[in-house]
Amino acid sequence: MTNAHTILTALGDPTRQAILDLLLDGPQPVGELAAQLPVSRPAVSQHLKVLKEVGIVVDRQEGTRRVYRVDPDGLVPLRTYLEKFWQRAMVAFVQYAENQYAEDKYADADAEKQPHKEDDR
Amino acid sequence: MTQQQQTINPVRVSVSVGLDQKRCFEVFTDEMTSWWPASHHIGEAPIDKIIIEPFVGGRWYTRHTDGSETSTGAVTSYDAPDHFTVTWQIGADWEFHEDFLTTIEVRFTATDDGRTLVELEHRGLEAYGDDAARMKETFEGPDAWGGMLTLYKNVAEAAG
Repeated sequence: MTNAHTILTALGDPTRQAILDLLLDGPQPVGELAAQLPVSRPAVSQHLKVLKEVGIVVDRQEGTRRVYRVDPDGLVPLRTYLEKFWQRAMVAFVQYAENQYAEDKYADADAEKQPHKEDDR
Repeated sequence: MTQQQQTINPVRVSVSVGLDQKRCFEVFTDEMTSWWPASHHIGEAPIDKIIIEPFVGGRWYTRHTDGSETSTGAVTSYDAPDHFTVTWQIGADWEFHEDFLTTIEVRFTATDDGRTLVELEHRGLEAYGDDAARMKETFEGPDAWGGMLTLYKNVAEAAG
């Protein structure tokens, strides 16, 4: 699985950002992408390869041409992020809720303890 | 784009809490300010209070210490002490959007041991992908990549 650092690095390049931007308009073959960018077709292919490797872009053969598109699974890191976020939030909730509850319980326990102490004396 | 309409599995998190159901629901909603991870807010200033208005159509918002408010979503069902649903309208750019909708449902179920099972589901995540236009805007805006990279950076830090 691609780690988020790899995605970050891949997106750090302005040409790759531009390619992703174009692909968000819809699937396109290399030639069409290259025509809209100030870089050569082989360079675009190279960048597409990197985007593919990090899982943001996928390709498919359509007749004689290979068409590239954004992969919704590229959103997996976002899902992972939300998952970790909610896990953290829920753990924080349990800790807070049970601490509050525990304080009540200890208060009760102390109240019960007190008379026993008196008795012991 | 049809490929953007793919469903992403909801995020589901559940915990068992040593409180009765009624109190558990109250603490979760009324005292959200006390347990919400303080670093997670979208406003400029720190959180003063997080408010979920306890009725359908109510707002879920945060009041900040400088008096400003930021919206998170709206209450779409409220059935204390069993469950509630709210919208989470924070997009990939980590900003609130009126027309961006994902849903959070929280269920509280009493268990035999006197505890409460709290189940949270964050669904409709495909909105992040559906909203290609918004993402495109995000990518084209002045702080576009800053925002997106911040998001990815958060992912990275969470993963690290």
